[in-house]
Amino acid sequence: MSQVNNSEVMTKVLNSFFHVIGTKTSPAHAWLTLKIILQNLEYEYDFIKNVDVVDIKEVNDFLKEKNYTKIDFSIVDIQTEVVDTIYKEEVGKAIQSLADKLKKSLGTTAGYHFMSEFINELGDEYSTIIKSIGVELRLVDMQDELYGRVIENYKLEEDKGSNIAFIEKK
Amino acid sequence: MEKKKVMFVDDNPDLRIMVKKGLERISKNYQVNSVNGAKECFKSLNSGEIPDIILLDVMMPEMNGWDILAKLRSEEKWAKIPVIFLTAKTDDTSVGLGTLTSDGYITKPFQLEDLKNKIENFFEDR
Repeated sequence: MSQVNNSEVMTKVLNSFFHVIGTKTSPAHAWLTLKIILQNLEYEYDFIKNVDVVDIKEVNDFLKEKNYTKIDFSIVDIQTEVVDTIYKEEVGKAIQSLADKLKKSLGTTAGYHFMSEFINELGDEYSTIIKSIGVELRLVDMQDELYGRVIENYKLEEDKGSNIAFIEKK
Repeated sequence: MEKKKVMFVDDNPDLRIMVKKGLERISKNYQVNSVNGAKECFKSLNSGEIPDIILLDVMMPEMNGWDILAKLRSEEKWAKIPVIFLTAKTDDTSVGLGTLTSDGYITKPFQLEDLKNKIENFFEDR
């Protein structure tokens, strides 16, 4: 079981989501996305009331800095004294729910690539930590589903007499 | 019945005219204010012209639709204005994230009749 505080895990996860969403849309929209998801999560996990994103003005100020690096900035405003007392499994369930909401919104193909980027952004250490508290991003399952779709599409093209070559997805 | 005020935010002048004239022609229920990008959008809002719904393009110079939506949602006085994206961004990620944060996502090209139906359905479902 992880020795890292809950607040550190939540902060790292939310910042990683922020940076991935920010590159797909915009940092301000990533801020909005996380704010909406956290508001929804409050109904499922009471402790999420103590986890919020910073004011949008801070995001805008951060973006105005010409030589900013993402390491310098955290999107998260968290009550550590409360969140650190929560069972780690409960925090894991909340992170799982957050990831599931994003995956559901994006669908299989975009969801798979999104989660791959998220794990990359999160890094090995925190990927292992969230797994140890029960978070399962099921990338392998998603890849299987994608692979299945590629084969299915290939068969459909083949049935139609297409000459399109089948390229195996690694 | 009082007409619903629709604000359409897009940098394409032809589309601004088409949506305004088209929507007002096929439905007597809407009064469309077509504005050119973020500057005109916020100028209109700041003047007290609060629409019943905003149709928002994504890819615009100066300030894109993602940022406009975030600004709207972060200001208490505008946070509850319904926003539907009306955009040529059709990739799954944009559609998914846009749908999550807005009240609807319509991709270009579109039929005016479909746009009218989507707006009507939105108001009926509320």
